[in-house]
Amino acid sequence: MSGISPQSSQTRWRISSDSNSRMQLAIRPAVVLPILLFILSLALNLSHVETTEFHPDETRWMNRAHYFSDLRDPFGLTWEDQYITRGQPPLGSYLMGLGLVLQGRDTDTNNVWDFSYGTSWNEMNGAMPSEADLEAGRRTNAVVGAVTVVVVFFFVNAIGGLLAAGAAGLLMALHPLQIWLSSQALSDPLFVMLVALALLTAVKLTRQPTRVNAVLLGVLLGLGGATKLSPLLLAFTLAGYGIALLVLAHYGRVDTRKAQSLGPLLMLQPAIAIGTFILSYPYLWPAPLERSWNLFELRAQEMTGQSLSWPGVSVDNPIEALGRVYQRLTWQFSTTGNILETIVGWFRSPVDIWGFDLVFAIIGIVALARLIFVRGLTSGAALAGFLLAGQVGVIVVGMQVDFYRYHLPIVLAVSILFGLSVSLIWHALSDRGAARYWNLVPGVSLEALAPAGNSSPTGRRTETGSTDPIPASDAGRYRSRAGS
Amino acid sequence: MKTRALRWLIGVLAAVVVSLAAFQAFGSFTDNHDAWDLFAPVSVESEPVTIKPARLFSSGQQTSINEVVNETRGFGVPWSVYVTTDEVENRDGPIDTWAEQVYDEAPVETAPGARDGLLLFVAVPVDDHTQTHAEFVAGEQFFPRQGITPETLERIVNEQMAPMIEDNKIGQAIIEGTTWLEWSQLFQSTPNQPHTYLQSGLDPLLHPFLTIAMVGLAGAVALVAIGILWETWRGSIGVAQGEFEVASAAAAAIGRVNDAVIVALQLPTAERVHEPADTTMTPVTETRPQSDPRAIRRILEDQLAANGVFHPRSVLYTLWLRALAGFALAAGLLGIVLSILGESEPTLFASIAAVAISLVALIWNESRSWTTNAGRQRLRDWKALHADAQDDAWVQFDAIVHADHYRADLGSPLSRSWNPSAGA
Repeated sequence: MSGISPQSSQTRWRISSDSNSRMQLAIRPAVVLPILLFILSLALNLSHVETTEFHPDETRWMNRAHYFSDLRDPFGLTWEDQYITRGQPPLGSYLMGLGLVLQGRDTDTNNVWDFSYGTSWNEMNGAMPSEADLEAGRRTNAVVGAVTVVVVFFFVNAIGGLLAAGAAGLLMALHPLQIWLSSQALSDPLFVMLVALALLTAVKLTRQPTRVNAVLLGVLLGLGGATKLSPLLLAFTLAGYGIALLVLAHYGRVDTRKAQSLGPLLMLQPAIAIGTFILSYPYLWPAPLERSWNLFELRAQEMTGQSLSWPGVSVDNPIEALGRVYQRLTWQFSTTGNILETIVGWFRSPVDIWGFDLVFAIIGIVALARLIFVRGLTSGAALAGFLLAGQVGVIVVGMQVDFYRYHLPIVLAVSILFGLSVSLIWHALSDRGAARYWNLVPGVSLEALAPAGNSSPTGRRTETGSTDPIPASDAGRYRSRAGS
Repeated sequence: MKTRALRWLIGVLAAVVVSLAAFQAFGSFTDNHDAWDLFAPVSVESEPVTIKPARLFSSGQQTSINEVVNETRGFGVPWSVYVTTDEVENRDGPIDTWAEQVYDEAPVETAPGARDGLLLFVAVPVDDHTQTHAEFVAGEQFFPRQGITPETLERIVNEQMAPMIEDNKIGQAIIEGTTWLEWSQLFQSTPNQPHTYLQSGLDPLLHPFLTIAMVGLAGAVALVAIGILWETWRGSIGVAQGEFEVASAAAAAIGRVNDAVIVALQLPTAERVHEPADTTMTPVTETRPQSDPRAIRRILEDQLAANGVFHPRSVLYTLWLRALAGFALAAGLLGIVLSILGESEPTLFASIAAVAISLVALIWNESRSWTTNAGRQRLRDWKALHADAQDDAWVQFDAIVHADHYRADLGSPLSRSWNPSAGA
């Protein structure tokens, strides 16, 4: 045990060349990067608040901001069985109300927008929110979007290391759809933030299978359900995963001890998630089962109606849905596409350039599969991967109409996979000695970006790997020389 | 082995049967369910729109009015619009009586005698359209009808239609009125239903009795938790004494004897063949070396309590608080259900408070530090003596306290040298 200190599992960028010097300054990327990503994402989101195109759906979320203040009267008129309460679960509305109150506004906003009539009729009848209210709602989501980027960073750092986390956070922060939706007053950014938090909690649960972590995961899925319904279905799939773990443990196919502690906790997820979902919405209280079904049924019927009303964006089957995802996230909303177009725009007239976010995502699937294969089904990577695949699967299978906002959870998945793929590629190159080209500044080693847990800050292997008798200060260059 | 396999088989079969039964029950519930049932279309025999004379409005206006009325019938409102100019100026008596007569002569209803329809009656004087009178007449069984209430109807006439009538835009006023009626049906809040017999019976029981009980429980849990916190922090012994080795220091820092402390205690035993370790624990009550982790935990806890590092009643306090908070949690959950059934707000909020405080207390209780103030002082002294990165005791202490950092799946296996066996 001696020789290992907690600091050895944390990664640092060394500024001083002398590792023994007490004057050395250690900047921990694990602390600095999320702060930088938060600032970057928030700045980008806020800069788009005034310019992002208005969407009539925003009026609905602004209208229901009064849900937040009406929680003080949970048996009042607001929570009766009616179209509006059946139309959407409440958490996005609570968020809008909270955002308005925190920004010094009240929750009495605009009338309900009637999609049967045009903009002028709705404007005339008070269904258009005031500019101040709308911008306050949008700013709320700008913060939520930036928080999501940070959560993505922490999640990917937990399963794939710092380089993967930085890449994933950066892609998410710069993603045009993320910026677009984080500067509109809708509920999708909140939904994605809750999914990201659930992923992070899933990893925590696999490391510490405690009742508190299990409750936390279930509560997050319940709150996700109270935002967009679909995470409630994920809670059931997690319960199935728990049962599968127990069966596999019985036959000795997985880490038995871990599976036996994790399985029952996963089996509790539906009960916790549904309990949270019901508690969060006073409308459900008088008849929880029937009214919950009302919500699911109305969403399904509305989607069918939308599919009929807008045949141009209707989706007939999951294969077509995948095609839509490709189109949206390659040609319309792509970080890499945007960056390339900007660069090309410096030299010639603007052109549409193929974005290759999805190519990285596919490589990321390989990286994630390898993580799961190596670590086993009881690992955080496996559980979170299962959760993420479930969420994307629900969207692809359930997509009847291709609205841009439905793709945001897929952007979350793409960002995570992008991070893993960058890490995989980096290490593949690093193992072949390519890293030496990056070590430009003497004493500053990008080796420190290696995932935590494998190596000490100096690049030396810990007890889990081979020993490496190199001087700490030379760690980065040593690998370079070895490569050459 | 055969018995075990049989149990598994029975268990799986039972799960399949229960799942199928649940699926069947849920399926029968959902098969005929329509979330739009609130707004199920209604069939009404009377004409949707009657305009006398028809040339009063443009054909575009007539079409619009017809469309909105039919659409609203599709959302579950049995209603019609009746517009007339017949001798409006020369008619005796109030116009609302006339409107009721029109309704009685040709009732708007979903079945003969149902009296569940609504009529928008509009009387337009020929010589001055700005004196037009609009009136809603509802059958006795029309209300409740989602968002449409008598107040809504009054507001539509007075606030939406009247200004347009004053501007001599009669056709536009009717379109506006019919549109708002449809909007109210869909989007206006439905009035609260009257209390049921159960709710009326529960109400006096819930408030104030259950409310006071819940507030009392929440307060009791909070007070006991604060009391335990204070008592533990103060400690019962002024100065912690006795042996204070690495494991003791780590336990004091963590506040408990956790798995990492026990593993650390056992490791030197395994290494003793090569090198005697100074962290071997001398049990207070046992003479033989212990291998049962629970026993080791108890022995070390007793030792630390005897030395004044842990509060001597920590285990007892933990059990007490667990029981009290567990009871308050269960009672609070029951209170939530009862207060929802009885629609009692004060009881609901008191029950939520009881649940929230109990949950926080339970979570805190399971991980709270048992270390006394004297124990903390002892730990500070120990740290001052050993706080050096080169000191083996310090390194070992740090490793125990931050054992979570060494979990195998923290790192990334993307590089080739990652050791998968560490993750097992």
